[in-house]
Amino acid sequence: MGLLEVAGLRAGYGDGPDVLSDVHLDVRSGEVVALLGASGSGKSTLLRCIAGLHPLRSGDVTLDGRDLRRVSVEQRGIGLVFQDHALFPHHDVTGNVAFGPRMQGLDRAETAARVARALADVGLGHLAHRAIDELSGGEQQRVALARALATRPRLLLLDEPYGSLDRPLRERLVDELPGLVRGEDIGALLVTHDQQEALRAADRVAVMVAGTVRQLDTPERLWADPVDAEVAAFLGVGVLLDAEMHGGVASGAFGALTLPPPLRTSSAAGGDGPARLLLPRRALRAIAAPGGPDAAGDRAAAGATLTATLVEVRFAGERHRIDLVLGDGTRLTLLSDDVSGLPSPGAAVTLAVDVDALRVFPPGQ
Amino acid sequence: MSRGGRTGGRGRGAALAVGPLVFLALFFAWPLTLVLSRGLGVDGALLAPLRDVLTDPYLQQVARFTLGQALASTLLTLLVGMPVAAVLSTLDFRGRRVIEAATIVPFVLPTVVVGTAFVALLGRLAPVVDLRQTTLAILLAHVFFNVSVVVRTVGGLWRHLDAAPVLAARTLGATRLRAFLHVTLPRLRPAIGAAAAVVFLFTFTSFGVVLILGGPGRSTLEVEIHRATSQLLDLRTAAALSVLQLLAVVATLGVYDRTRRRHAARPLARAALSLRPAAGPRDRMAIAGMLGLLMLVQGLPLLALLERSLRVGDGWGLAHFRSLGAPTREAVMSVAPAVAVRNSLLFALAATLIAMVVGTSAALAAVGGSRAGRLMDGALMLPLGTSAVTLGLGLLLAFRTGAFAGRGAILLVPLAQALVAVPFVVRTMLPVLRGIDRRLREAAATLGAAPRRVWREIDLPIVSRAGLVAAGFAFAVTVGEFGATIFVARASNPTVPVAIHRALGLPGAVNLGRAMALSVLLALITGATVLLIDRIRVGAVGRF
Repeated sequence: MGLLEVAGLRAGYGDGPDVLSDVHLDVRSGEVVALLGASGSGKSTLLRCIAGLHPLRSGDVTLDGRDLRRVSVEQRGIGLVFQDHALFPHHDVTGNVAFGPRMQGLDRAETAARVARALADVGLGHLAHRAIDELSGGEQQRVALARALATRPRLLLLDEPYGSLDRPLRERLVDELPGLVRGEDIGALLVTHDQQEALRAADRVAVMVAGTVRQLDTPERLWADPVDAEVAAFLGVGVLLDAEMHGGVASGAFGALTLPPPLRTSSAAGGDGPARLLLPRRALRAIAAPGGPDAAGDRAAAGATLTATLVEVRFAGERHRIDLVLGDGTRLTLLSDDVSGLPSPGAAVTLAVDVDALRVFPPGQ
Repeated sequence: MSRGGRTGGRGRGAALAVGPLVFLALFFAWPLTLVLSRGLGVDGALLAPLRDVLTDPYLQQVARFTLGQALASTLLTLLVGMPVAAVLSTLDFRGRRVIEAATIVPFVLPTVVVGTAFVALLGRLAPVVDLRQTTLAILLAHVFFNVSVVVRTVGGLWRHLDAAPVLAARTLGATRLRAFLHVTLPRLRPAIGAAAAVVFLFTFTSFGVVLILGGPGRSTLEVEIHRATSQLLDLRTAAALSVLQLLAVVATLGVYDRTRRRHAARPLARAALSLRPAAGPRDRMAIAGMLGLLMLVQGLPLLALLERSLRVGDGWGLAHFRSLGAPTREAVMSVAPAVAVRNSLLFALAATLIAMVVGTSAALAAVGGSRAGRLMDGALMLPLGTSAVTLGLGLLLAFRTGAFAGRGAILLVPLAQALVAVPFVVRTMLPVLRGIDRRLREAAATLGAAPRRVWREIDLPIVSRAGLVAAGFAFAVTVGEFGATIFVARASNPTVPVAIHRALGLPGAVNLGRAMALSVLLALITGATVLLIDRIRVGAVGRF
């Protein structure tokens, strides 16, 4: 049983259409779940619904098994870290962090202890009496986090909290989050549009597309098995090709690939007819020119292959970036450690395809 | 949840709007309607009063003079204000903040004080060059007043301009002057336009300064309205002149609003202050030149006023200040100037209270987003655009008889002053109320604060600072208010500005000395109030 359970949630603005529809989501104790989606996919609205700042049209939200629908925002025991922090300008650091404990009616000593602990947790003990506008962006973010933690919430919601910070700082703060959450034994839901951020911090990732959570899984499973073409496209797992399915063979302007038996019968493929074929990057390996000396041997070892045209090879730091164009004109970029044996730009290249990693989706997505 | 809260807020907003709307209807709309209907001749031959006014050669000359002096004053103010703005918004040096704060003082000084200061200065200069009762005197007094409008408006934009385009122009071969003309000036144009419109508006409706410094042939519409009312008892002509004046004001406000909107549309690099530390002889000369200019146009008249108030016969002393306690001997109906000081303080306090209640509830209503609130936002600016003399005339027309006649008339003074002050209160409170980030309230709620507590913990502390500033402004404006007050104040209950005006009209060195002493007192009161709130503002509210 999860700490936070969201089921069948629907919400919108005014009399407008649903911005969120049939959202299902759960967060467990000690876990960071990243809510990943493009801007406008409804991430922030979902967070505001859970916090109690936005009304639901229908659906359930429970925390520790307690139905939150009739609980007002100030009594939910959920900490929210805002985009751009929303720190109180008329209080100093301590005043901001002490705000929650004060609202909970704690006495001075207890409040001071909470503040000290929360500031220590985020490494800001030395700035307790600074004015807010004297803090750097990273310090403000930490104060916002400390302020939310000081109420001892069961669940922490973070709405793109690192958006305004530069990358090295953002990465450091993101890396600290899982330890903090596990240390307090709470759950955290982190809204972000940045995949790297989601991968660094999250135990599981929920992908939001067009107002609903399409898939909630560990990062490994998400990348290996995206549930539909849109999730695959959003994650950038690989390229999506228009294909024709016939007797277990996917063919198109890109060439033809014979699919392994489990894929042929998967329900997503929907039998023979048009389909979308996901060609994950990690299933591909550029091996050599088709007519090259090693090509015959490599091709036999590789099993299924496609032919592409090499556009450019560039050193991209640590690895090389290989830009290719498939037969149907689809552009494709691979990363590779070894680019020896590749022909010069403009020549044809053989791609070895791990057919077990392919996925087939219904057409039109 | 939030939906219920929002509807509740809207209901409360509409309720808050009722008070201010009633106040406006009773003490602004109705009096103004009376002025309009009289001026337009609604009761008799339609437009006849306007026609009479427009065909009167003397009044035609007044209208021409009003327009001409306003245009000349605006131009002269820009010529003086721009170099000051240039130095204050590009160079950082010791004392910059103090000078900046000081430039606001002349702007808030009561018109009567400024008029008196120039009387003192021109009297001192008379042996060398006699500028008494000249148009130039009026123009100089208008420059004294309005330089800070240019400095604040243009300088405010200037210091937030990104310095990079100017540097780019310099690397492309532009001289300092050409970079200024082709890069900086075009970007300042909206602010210059807005400042010019405001200065034009103020000088076009100038009353106290012209009343005191102007002589025969140098009368503005505003002064003429007063003269027609109080000397000729010709309310019809006064009302028709008010209508003319209103039309000009509305046209100017239209221009101002257009430039202001364009101004607002420009994105500003708010954080990027283009101030650089002053260094080298060129910068020092610029600063010295700026200080010299300010000293000449603003410092000198004030010094002359101070000097004149302390001059007793051939020596120096506080005799004029001491004499404020005694009634004027030369006048028939006389009260001691000290009574006027007491009156002024009491009236101003009452007016401030009224303006705060009306203005704050109006601002709260406007920020609530209800329809009544939005209506309020615009409606409350109208008294600002209507000249004080027109307001005074309207109140006189509306309340000559009835509840405010006789003993009740004394209530009209703070009401008239409050009308003038309400727009200042709203303009000070509204941006702060609007500026309270919705997410601050949400953050407080997620941290466990119930709605009432959110108001107490978030809105109240932020708003109360703004309230302090607004009250200070209201007090400074009302204590020196002249145009509306002179219409409604009874001879037995003058305020300080009215008493100064009266003393200036009386013969004898003693009366002149008293006028000077009273002016110094009034200048000290308003100056201190404004400097005090400027400190609060920079310290706290300015941050939001």
